[in-house]
This record gives sequence, C-alpha cells and structure tokens, in this order.
Amino acid sequence: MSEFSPKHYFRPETASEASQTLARYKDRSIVIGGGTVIYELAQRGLLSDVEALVDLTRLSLDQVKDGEKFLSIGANVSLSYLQESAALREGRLACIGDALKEIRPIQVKNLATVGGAVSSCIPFFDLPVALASVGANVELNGPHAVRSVPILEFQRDFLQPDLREGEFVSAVLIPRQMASRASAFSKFALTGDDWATVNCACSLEIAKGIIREARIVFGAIASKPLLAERCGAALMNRRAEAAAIPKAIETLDGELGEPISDHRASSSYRKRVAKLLLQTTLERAFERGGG
Amino acid sequence: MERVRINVNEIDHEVEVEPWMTLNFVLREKLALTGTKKGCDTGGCGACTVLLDGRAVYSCMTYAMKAEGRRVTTIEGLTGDGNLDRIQTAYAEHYALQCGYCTPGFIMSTKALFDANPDPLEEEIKEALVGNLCRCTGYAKILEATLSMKQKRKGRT
Repeated sequence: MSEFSPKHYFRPETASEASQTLARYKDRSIVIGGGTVIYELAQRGLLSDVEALVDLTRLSLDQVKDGEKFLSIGANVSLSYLQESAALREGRLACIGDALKEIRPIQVKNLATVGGAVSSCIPFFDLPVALASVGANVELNGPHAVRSVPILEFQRDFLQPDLREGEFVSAVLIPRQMASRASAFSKFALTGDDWATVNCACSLEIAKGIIREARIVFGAIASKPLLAERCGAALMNRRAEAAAIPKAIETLDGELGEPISDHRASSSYRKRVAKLLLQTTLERAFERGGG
Repeated sequence: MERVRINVNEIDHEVEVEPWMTLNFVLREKLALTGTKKGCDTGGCGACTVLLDGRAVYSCMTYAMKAEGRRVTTIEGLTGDGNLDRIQTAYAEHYALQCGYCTPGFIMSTKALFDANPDPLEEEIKEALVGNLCRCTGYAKILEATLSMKQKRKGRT
C-alpha cells in the first residue's frame, strides 16, 4: 500500500478518549487539525501507513485564553482566527502578528491550525519561529498526564515532534511577560505564498532603551528552528538602536553553521539572506520599542 | 465508509465518504457540482476555492470529513435565482477571464473578501487573491473587475 487511505475517522468527545485512540493505533494514527499538512505529506507518499485520523474538533481547543501566567492558544485555533484575535491587537506579540501576515494564501490560513503548525515540525514554517522567539511552550495531553515542553525541545527534528504514546498537542502557551517585549518577524520567500527561504524572529526585553535580553530565532536554516544564542548575547546591554546590529550580524557566520541547501537556495545564499533579515527584524523591533 | 452531513449552497446533503476523500472530490464526483474546478490538486492554484462557513478554502486540500455540519458555498450557489451574481457580472463586464478555468476560484475568493470587508484596499484585494493563479489574463483585468465593485459601492454611498 503506497497511497494515503485511512480507514477510520474518530471525533473523540474527551481528551482521555483522544489519548486512548491515539495509543491504540500508535504510529498508524495521526491527529488532523485543518488537514493541510496531512494533505501535503500524503501527496508526497509519507502517510501511507496511517489507518486512523483523529479529529479533536469536539475537545473545545479552539479558544485563545488570556490567563494569569500564560496566553493559551488552543491547538485547534485556525491561523486566521489567531490573526484576528484580540490577544494580538495593539502591537502585542507583534512577531506573531508579523508571521501570520506572511503565511499565505488565505485559503490555507483559514484551514491550518496552530496545533498543526507546531506539531508537524516543518522547518520552513513561520509560526514556530515566532513562537520560539517569545519562549512559547507546547502543552501536551497524554493518557496519564499533561506536560508542557519548550517549543524548541518539542520540535526535535524534521517531522519529529516529541510526542509520546497517546499524546497530542492541546495548546501553545506564551508566558505573559513576553507580551510586553518588543518583537518582530521577517521572512524571505521566492514567491508571495511560498514557504520561507529563510525567516527570522526576535523578541527583546528593553529597559530604558537598553536591551536586557534578546531571543533571536531563525527558520529554514536547520532541520528545526535555530535559537541564535551568541547573536542574542551580542545585543545584551547595548542600546536598542542601529549601532548594535553589526556585532549581532557578525556572530551569524559561526552560529548558523552550514544552513540547509535545497532547490530554494544554496547554503551560502541562505546565510546572506539571514544576515539581511536579522537587520530588518531588529530594526523593526527597535522601532516598536517596548522599553 | 463514514457518513458526513454537509450543507452545500443551502441544501443539506448526507454523503458516504472515505476519510481520505476531499471536499473537492465530494462536490464534483458525488454531488455533481462541477463548477468548482480541480486544478493543480496540490493546494496551490486556487481553482478549487469554495467557502467553508463563509471563508475561502482550497477544496482540494480540505478533507470532506472536516466539512461535517458546516456550510459550503460553491460557484453554483451564487446564481440561485438564475441571474449572475454581482461579482460574476463585474468579471464579465471587465473581461476578467480568458479560458475561464480559474474563474470560479477567483470569484469565490472575491466573494469571501467582499462579504467580510465591503470596501477593501487594493492591497487587501491582492492579498485575498494571492492564492489564485491565472495563466491567461495576467491579473490586470481581474484586479480591475474587483476594484470596480468597490467603486460601484462607493458611487452608491
């Protein structure tokens, strides 16, 4: 059997029922959010062993909730719904708003879900990079417990989420204090609706014009989003202005290693683009301030 | 086989589907609504665009099971009274088509945009139509047709 031909479609009523179903079918089951990634993978013959689709629509995971400690984005929230959400108004979590604007076309954005964008572990996606820059965690619902894992750990490698037997992504959690950071996201793509050739997100803790912490993340460079720690460190205690940028760019030669080389771009081209994107992203974040 | 209930153009249908069947397949092959086209069938050209609960989606990458209990609008749903809808009229008046294969998809994307935002900026129109490809007209006429709807509206107010 080489074609995608699942025999079963489950719509569990509870989280426990969802976990039990996933545990029963193990690798022969997959959670369906909007179905757009499943479609892409199935087209490439990668899901021929899937027997059961598990649709979480009935678990009420379609809300964005502003909690005491976290902004919680349900796994079934569509990318369009998130873009329109009050949680992103007035420049809050601007890097996420920037990333959502860059995800095209609308026909996909209306279907695709946050859970799918995160759990698919495709390194050319935009949302995981923005989420990683604001220190998001992925909430995982399992047969026996709920756990929360930083997104950069959850995305272990290309197409490899840290999902144990019976687990599914129930939400993405963004620490509340991140909402006040100055942040931005930029993307370079070959066409208006292509996946990223390179993308970059940053979030900056700025106090009285001085950068106190910087998280810089690049996508489409490695097999998972890459946290550029030396780049972030080069910005520490610098004034949030253009003069701080060259030092940060210098770190990228070493820190980006040997970026992916594929039909979209060579490794060296990606590195050049990454440097330009860092410049743009930091400038945009500086303009937004937040100190 | 699973049973799925879908409201298409305000008519309720109950259809037997396999979990891998797409909405495009169900519309065209089971409900004989062939106005919705199958173009690239890889989620890239937009010829298959329909509205799902009022929002534009690619029917080729929407699994039919995801449409359970939801409202689908196809190009056939625009001409309920036998007359062309105002978007279709604008496309015809502005010659915004040549071979016509992409046109139902463009019109559905245009409908989703104008239903949500009756007075879109040119940039917003382009953003809404970025997921629809036309290989004949070069887009200028399509943009003209779409902008004319906005101007007509302005003329009335």
